[in-house]
Amino acid sequence: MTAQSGKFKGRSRWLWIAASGLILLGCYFLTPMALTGMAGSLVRADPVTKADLIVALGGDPRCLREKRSAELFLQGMASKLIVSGVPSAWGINTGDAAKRYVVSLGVPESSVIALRESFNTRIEAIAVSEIMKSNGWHSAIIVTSPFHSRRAMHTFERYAAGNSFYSMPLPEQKPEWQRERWWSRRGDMGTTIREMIAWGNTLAGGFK
Amino acid sequence: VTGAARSIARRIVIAIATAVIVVILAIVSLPLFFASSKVARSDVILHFSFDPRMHGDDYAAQLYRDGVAPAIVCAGAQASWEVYPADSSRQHLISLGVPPESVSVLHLPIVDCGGEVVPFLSEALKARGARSAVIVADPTATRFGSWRFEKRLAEAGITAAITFAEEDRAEMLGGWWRSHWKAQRIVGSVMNSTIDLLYAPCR
Repeated sequence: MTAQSGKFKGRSRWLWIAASGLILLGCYFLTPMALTGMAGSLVRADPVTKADLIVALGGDPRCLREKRSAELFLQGMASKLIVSGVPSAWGINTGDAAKRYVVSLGVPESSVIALRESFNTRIEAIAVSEIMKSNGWHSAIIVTSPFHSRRAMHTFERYAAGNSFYSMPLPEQKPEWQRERWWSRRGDMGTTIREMIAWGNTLAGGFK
Repeated sequence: VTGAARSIARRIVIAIATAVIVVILAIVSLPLFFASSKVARSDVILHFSFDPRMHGDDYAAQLYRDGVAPAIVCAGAQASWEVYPADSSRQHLISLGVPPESVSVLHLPIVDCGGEVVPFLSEALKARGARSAVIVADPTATRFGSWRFEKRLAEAGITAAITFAEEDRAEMLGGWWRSHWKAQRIVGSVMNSTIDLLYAPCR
C-alpha cells in the first residue's frame, strides 16, 4: 500500500511538471498571437465605398493621411475633402499646411476644407458633423492611421450620429504602424500602448 | 451579515484604499519626474521647447541675454507638411531681440525616440564648432531625458546641461489632471521613458 502510494505520488509529480511545461510552451507560442490579435483589434477597415466627402484626420506629421485622402479624392471617391490641424508654434497652423499639401497633390483648393482647432478626435467629429449638417452631406470616408481607425470610427459614430462613416485607414507598412510583432519596434510599441490608454479614456468618457 | 460577506467587504475596502494610496503617491511623487534645471556657460543654447503654451522661447532668449551662450540653435522635427516649429521659434526669438545671426535652425528627422536623435545633434553641434550645450527642454522630459542626453552627448565629446523655464515646471505641476494636454504630456513622458529602457538605441 505504501509503495503503491509513493509510486502514485511520483507519477502525479511528473504529470504536474509535464502539464506545467506544456502550459509554458503554449504561452510561449500563443502570446505573440494574442498580442498581434490585440493590436489587430485596434484596426477597422471598411469596403471601398463612395461618399459625400473624405476626412483626413490630423495628427500625422508625415502627412501620410492627407496623401492617402488626396489619392482617394483623385480616384473620385468623394467631391469634398476635409483636412485638420491645430495651431502650432507662433502663428502657424498645421491645418493650413495640410490644405496646402493636398492642393499641391492636385486636389482643387475649392474642394478642400481645413479644420484649424482639432485638438482631439472628438473635436474633429463634432466639427465634421456640423459641416455635414450645414451642407446636407450624409456620408464620409474617414482616413487615419490603422491603429487609430477603430477608435476614430467609434468617436465619429458617437458624436456625429445620423451619418454614415466608412473607415479607409492607411496601409500597415513602414513608416506607418504595423501590427505584426509590434512589440519588437520602439515606435510601434509606444503607439500601441498609447492607443490602448486612449481607448480607456474614450470608453471612460474622461478627458474631452 | 455573514462572515463571508464581511470578508468580501473588507477586501473591497482594502483594494479601494490601496488604489487611493497609489494614486496619491503618484501625484505627490510627480515632481520627481522633473530633473533639476542646470545652467552652465556653453558654446550654444540648444532649444527644443517650442510649445506656444509654455515659455521655452522667452527662457532661451533670457539665457542668451544673460550671456550663457553666444548662439541659439532651434532644433526640431516636422509638425506637418513643410512646417517646422523650430522655424517659427527662430522668428519669435528674433522678435524677442535675439540678433538673427545668433539664431539658427536644425531640422531633425522624425524618429521613434529621443535617443535616436543624438547622432544628428552631436554631428550638427560639432559642425558648428560647439563642444558644450545648454539644452532648453520640456520639463516633463527631463528626468530620463537629461540622463540620456548628457550621457550620449558626453560619449560624442559634447558637454550638455539640461534646463527649462521655472514657470513651465509650475505650469505642468499645477492641476495637470484637469487639462488634457498636460495629462497627455505627463503620461506620455512616463510611458516613453519606461518603454525607452527596453530598446537599445533609445536607452
